[in-house]
Amino acid sequence: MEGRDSLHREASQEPVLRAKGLKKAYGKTLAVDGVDLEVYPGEAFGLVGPDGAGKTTTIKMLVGLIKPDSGSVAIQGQDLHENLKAIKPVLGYMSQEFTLYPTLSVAENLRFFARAYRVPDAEERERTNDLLAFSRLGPFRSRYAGRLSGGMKKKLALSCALIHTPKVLFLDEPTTGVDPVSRQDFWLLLYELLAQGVAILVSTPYMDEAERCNRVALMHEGRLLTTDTPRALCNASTSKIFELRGERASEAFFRLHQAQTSERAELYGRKLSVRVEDGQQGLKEELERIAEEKRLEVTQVPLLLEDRFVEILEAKGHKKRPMPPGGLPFRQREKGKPCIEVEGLYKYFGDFAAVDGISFEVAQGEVFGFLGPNGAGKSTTISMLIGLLHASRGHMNVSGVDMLKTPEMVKGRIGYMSQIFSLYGDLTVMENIELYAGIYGVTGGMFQARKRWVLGMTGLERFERQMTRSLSMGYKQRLALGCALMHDPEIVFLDEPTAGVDPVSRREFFDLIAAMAEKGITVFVTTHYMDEAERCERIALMYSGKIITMGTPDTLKAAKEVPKIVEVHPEDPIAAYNALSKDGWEGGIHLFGERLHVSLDEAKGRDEQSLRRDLERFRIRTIEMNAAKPTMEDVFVAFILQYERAKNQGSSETFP
Amino acid sequence: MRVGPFELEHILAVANKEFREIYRDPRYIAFALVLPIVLLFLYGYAITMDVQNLLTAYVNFDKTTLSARYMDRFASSRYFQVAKEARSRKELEELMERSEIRLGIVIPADFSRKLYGGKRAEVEFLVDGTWPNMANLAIGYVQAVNGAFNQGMLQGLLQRAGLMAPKSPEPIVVEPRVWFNEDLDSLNFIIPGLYAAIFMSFPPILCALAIVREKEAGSIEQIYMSPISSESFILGKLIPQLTIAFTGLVLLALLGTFWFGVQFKGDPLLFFGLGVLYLSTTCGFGLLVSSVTRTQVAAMIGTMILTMIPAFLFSGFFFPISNLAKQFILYSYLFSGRFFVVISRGIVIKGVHLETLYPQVFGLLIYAAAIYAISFFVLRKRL
Repeated sequence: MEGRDSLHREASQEPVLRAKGLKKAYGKTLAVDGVDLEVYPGEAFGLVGPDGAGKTTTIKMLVGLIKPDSGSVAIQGQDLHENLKAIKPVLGYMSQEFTLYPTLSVAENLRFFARAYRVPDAEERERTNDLLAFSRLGPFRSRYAGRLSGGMKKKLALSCALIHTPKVLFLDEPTTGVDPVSRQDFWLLLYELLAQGVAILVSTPYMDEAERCNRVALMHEGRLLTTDTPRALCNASTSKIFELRGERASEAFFRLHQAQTSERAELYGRKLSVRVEDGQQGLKEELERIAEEKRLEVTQVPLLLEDRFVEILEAKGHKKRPMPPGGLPFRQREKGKPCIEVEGLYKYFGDFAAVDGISFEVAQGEVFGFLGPNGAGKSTTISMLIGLLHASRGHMNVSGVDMLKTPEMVKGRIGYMSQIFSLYGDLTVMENIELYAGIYGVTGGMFQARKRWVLGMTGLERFERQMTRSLSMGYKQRLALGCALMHDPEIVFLDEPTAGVDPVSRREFFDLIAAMAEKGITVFVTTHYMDEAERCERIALMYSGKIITMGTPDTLKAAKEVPKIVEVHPEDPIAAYNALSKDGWEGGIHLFGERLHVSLDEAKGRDEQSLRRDLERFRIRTIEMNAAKPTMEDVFVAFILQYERAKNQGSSETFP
Repeated sequence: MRVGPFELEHILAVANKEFREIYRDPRYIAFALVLPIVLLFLYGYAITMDVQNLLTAYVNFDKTTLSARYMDRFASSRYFQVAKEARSRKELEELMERSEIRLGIVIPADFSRKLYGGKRAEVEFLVDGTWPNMANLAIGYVQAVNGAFNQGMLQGLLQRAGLMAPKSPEPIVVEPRVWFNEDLDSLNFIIPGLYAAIFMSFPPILCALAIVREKEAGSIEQIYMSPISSESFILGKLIPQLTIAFTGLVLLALLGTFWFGVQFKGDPLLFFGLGVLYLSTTCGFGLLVSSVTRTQVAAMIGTMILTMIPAFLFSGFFFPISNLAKQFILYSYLFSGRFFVVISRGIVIKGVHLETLYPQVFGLLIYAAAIYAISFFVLRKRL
């Protein structure tokens, strides 16, 4: 079924982009090691992989910004490097960083690129108006680009890359660091382009985002591991995922750990997800035994792209390392008593309330997630919790310390790991460990035990003398965590701890977090990364200085505010998208490769019945149609939109 | 309209964008226009090559009216400021060591006895040689004052001997007639030099920053992706930089003429015409730096080190280039400032015409051709 469309495509269409054997080395490091790919008109092709996989270098070679050491790129059948001048106007490119001119207005930026591409005046006017309407940036046309929000900047950058109507669009991590609402909006813009036959190559570190593409290539260490439609990739798996749900999920996780079969088990809050390979009957039976003992509910769930990625990496020998035996050299703490208590907390910067009266509680040993877009007030809150910033008013108690009275008392009791790599790159692994032990006064036998533990859990036993900067991302993250834990803190604050890390390393990292929580250490994670949010037992959603909702990931997904989602697999997805999204279902249709995700909205009269009726009305033949589970991203978007609606009824322009 | 790799529409688009960005960046304006003015005032007031009010102390072991009169000669001169009478030679030496005085005078005990006895008296002058130029000037002034005293003495002696003083006490008189800078005011020398020196560092720094800023931000990638050629891009970037630098030159020339009162003797049109040529060579230097640096900090520091010091030391601003060691004379050709220092002083102080300045103008033209050829070549390869 999945291959059908690509077969049809090959028969009728030539690829608009074809790359063969691309290689690029920086010094001794092979950044890209033999990449072959083809992209067809009207297709979204996803290049998926962690930071440092070679995505950016690949894209830069595809657009002619970097000359490959070997290999070739052809656009519309012409060699790129030989015909660069002629091909340039066919390409659109949006780099990962914001590369527009911050002190030029939205309209001036567009005008500059129009003139760069010699768009005739009349066409420029029309095109500019179209793009401003399409990106909903019209009301902001005279605002300086530097003063737009993150999401708006991305939309403007996309508009500038589209001013000359390119045939192939290259987007390098267009939604990294963008809030989920803007991300959904951004994809809605891309669907319009796909509908017009533009070919889009998009890179992303997010697996959930990759599912929106027609085809994806999984990239790791400069190579494409595999390329296919997301569904075909998942179907090629030889394993099944079983979920064990219940209060005692973590006990089950540690049981598997003791039995040394934990390397395929992932703890997501109160949910244990285990990948069982076909034929691993023993493991399947053990799971059932454990589930019965711990009173957990077992269900088989669909295998996700990330699971498949991990499976492929495993086959290549990049396996999840089991946690070192013997447990953590930390005190066991009593779980459950309140450890962070915040009530009516405010922080003003001038007149602006960065934190606008929030209240929440976190229990000892809990893994608590703090979600929100950039600028929501997350960092301000964290800064107050760790004593770097004084609260304007309210009540805040962290680990028994009254943070409004004696914030300095908290320092020895908490650990903090910032998003930016905080160790010293020019010190060796050992020197970093010694430095942190020294800072917190950890000495003697305690130091020896923790040093051994850090080396063990990071897997750096034989690399103690290696310079820290030469380690890979995954190792650095674990070492940073180890250093933040040297003094056995009661609470550890982690800021987007696994952003950009490959999926296997991320899983190793979260095993450690589970082990810490088991010891009764409270783990406070701030993130806008959906996978990290799913890992938390409870999450709070922060938006414009307020906590707009709080709960376990599962209860939030089931909340009435979150729209039901129907997955439709039509014969011609673009035609179906065009018909529905222009007539009655505006903004509610999302393309996921060959499938459509339709958000139902009772308030707008969008229910399942009206969907069936409209599908019939537009003569859209469907192969399959069933209910889909909302993702964390859907939850996030739903609550934010609801908050915005409640705040200012009717004005749709305030939310870009 | 296009000429070779230059496309007028693209050049204007880049220049237009650049002007808007500059206009909206107050820090840029401060750096490009306010700082040169600050430098003009700083140097205009601080650097003076005239030596006046030399701090002086003396020991008088003679203690007679004659020796007192001798000292009066120094005290009444505007070149010396007698700060103290020391008791001993040791005290004098200490004053000199503590830099409280630059000149010490020791009048020996037999000063008047010897003179009245028709013998030669020897007065000791201790000069602080830390600043050789000042020391040389000081010695010159000392000799002049001493000479005048001698002459007075001689006349007195002749009169007392009942002899008529000769009609002309000095058989030969030097009649100095100073050209161009009649008052020998060093401002007249410094200010036109500053017109050249200041603009040897600012335009290149700003030019280098303008290009490296886009490299650092990544926006240059969008330019490479577009049909804009690197030549058009660079030219579009240069136009606003040159305009700003030219505005600065006009401002400085106005301040120099009207605030500092340095009379502008030559043709302003010639001055500003050659000024544009000069500024374009210094901008070209910035381009060259921008082609080999990646960050704004590196571009800024690199250009500063490369231009600031040579602007003052190897341009003929302080010292005549002919006084430099041979290898440095060659080195000075790396910076176009050496040409414009001559042009600026020539036009402003001497009021000379173009014919006189041919060597410098040709120098600038060759320099411009060379630096742009190299910059475009390197930038093209790098872009």
